[in-house]
Amino acid sequence: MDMSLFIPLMVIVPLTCAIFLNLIHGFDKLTKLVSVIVAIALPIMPLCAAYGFHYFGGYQPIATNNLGAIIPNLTAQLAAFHPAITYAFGQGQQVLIFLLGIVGMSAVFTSIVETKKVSGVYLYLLFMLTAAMSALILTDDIFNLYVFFEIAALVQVGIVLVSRIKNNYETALKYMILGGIAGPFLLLGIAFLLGITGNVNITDIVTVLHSNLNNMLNPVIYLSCAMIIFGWLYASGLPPFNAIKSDVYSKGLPNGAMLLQSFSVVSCIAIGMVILRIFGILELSRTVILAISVIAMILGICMAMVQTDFKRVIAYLAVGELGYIGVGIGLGTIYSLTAGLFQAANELIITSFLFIGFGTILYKTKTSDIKKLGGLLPKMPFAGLLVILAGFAMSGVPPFNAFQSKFMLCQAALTQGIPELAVLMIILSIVTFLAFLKIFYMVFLRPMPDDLEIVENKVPKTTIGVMVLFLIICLAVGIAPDLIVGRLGALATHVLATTPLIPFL
Amino acid sequence: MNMYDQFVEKLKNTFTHDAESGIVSGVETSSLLAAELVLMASVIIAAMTIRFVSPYLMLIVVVALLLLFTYTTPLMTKLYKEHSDSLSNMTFYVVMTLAILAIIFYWGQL
Repeated sequence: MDMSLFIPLMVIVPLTCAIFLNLIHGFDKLTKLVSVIVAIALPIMPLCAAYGFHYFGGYQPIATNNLGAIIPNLTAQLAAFHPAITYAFGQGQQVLIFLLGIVGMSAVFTSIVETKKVSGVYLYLLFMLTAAMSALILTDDIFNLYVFFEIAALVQVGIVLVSRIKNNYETALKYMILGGIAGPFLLLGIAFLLGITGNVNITDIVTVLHSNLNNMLNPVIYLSCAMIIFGWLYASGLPPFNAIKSDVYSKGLPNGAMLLQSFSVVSCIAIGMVILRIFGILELSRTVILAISVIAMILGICMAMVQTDFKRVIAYLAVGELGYIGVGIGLGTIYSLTAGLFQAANELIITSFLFIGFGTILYKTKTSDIKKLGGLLPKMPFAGLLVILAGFAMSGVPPFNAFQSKFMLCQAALTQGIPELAVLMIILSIVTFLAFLKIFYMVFLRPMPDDLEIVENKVPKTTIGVMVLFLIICLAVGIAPDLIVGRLGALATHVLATTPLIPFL
Repeated sequence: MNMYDQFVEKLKNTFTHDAESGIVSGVETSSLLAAELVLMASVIIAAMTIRFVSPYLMLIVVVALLLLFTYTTPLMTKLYKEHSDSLSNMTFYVVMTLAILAIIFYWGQL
């Protein structure tokens, strides 16, 4: 069997399942069965798929089929162009989609056990978002990337709308309005690229722009870069969109919030890598990415210190951690990009771990206001232990995974001759730990307020199982980072093929 | 009124409904103080990267930041208010960012 068939299936299976679940909403047992089977398949498919390319419609580049002999006078460059939507699957994509599959599977399982009645509509939203994220990682077509970005944006609005948390409708509407500003500008940037290069395939765009076919100092290219960076800011939740993103995370259910923040991480790296491939030749683009990432780190982590809702604290911490990923992208070397991708892979797991962990508190107390909480450690000791370990992981405490990625990022900054960045990253990691300790104290350690009611008695075993799974992954990757760093390095090497640099000044 | 009392007064104005009778807990006060110090330290360290453009400009910017922090502290209460859920606030910063990006990239290609 040709295992490269699994490449498009990583998007088609969750997409089809989503549509099917929407149709069978109301049939609880069938909905549960289908969603559990497909959720288990999510992390298995990338392990089964063979590395390679998938060309939709079967339209391979002319150079790889027999048409080259038939069509005369075809230059080698033209023969290499991609006429179809192309999905590229390598070692890096395998790691990212596998971890995404773990997060998606966990979101589906916790959604099924924590709700009294299974909702096919809600599961449709979870699977559709997972499919969109897989497509963002796999696609080598910039317009296909935009389409799935818009699908994901709408699905996120849906996840917020169905949560029944106070003021969720208002948040969803604000997110759509801001998306209505950012999305069209992203499309405008893509349109400019199409106009200049005549291509939407990213590899072809890079070939055209980095050869002598176009003047790289064309002002339209600079404007296209600016527009695509603006769209990247919205998709990732980097400033100035950090406020609305944190609001969106806080208005979703914990399992929905897991996937919402996963989308931010995936779009940060997917669109970030596109910007680096196409515009990385311009030092200005990398400088801007670096500057925005530093602002994101500082703003996110400082704002996390002053929040009184633990979902908002984790949301702002997640924004701050995205800044670390952006630093890896902005430094623009193979090592820094590998470190950034490694940080992204770790964030997928750690932030999901935190959302689910604090979700158990929401499950038991129906409140996320830390002023109203306290004394929960005797009531849920094992969950409390897992939550503090998740906090250690996020702060970069060894032997957990984020320590390795943050260490690599610091090394990358020092190698590039910017020790200020390394100092900043270390200081902000310490403050992340401080912010986390504050909410842990307020929720678990201080005396329980008299008016706090514990509504549900027992945290579902599936939820605890999911948290233990995340902990094992954090420890395994932290102790043996070579499990995934080498694979992500291969992706970083492909993204940063040697190109001449055009200096900013 | 010393600086700490001014700080707590601004805290009460930001985080409580009634500034005169409102109570701000020790945890909130200390976390806000920590955030304030981290913000100042981080911005000054980030400003040191201006040395790649000009060391003299870096000196001027760092001194200006030190003076700014001295006279406008606490900044975190202002930052907290600017990060409100108000759509008008968010839209303002989104449009400002778009304008700044356009200007940077316009000058960048000249």
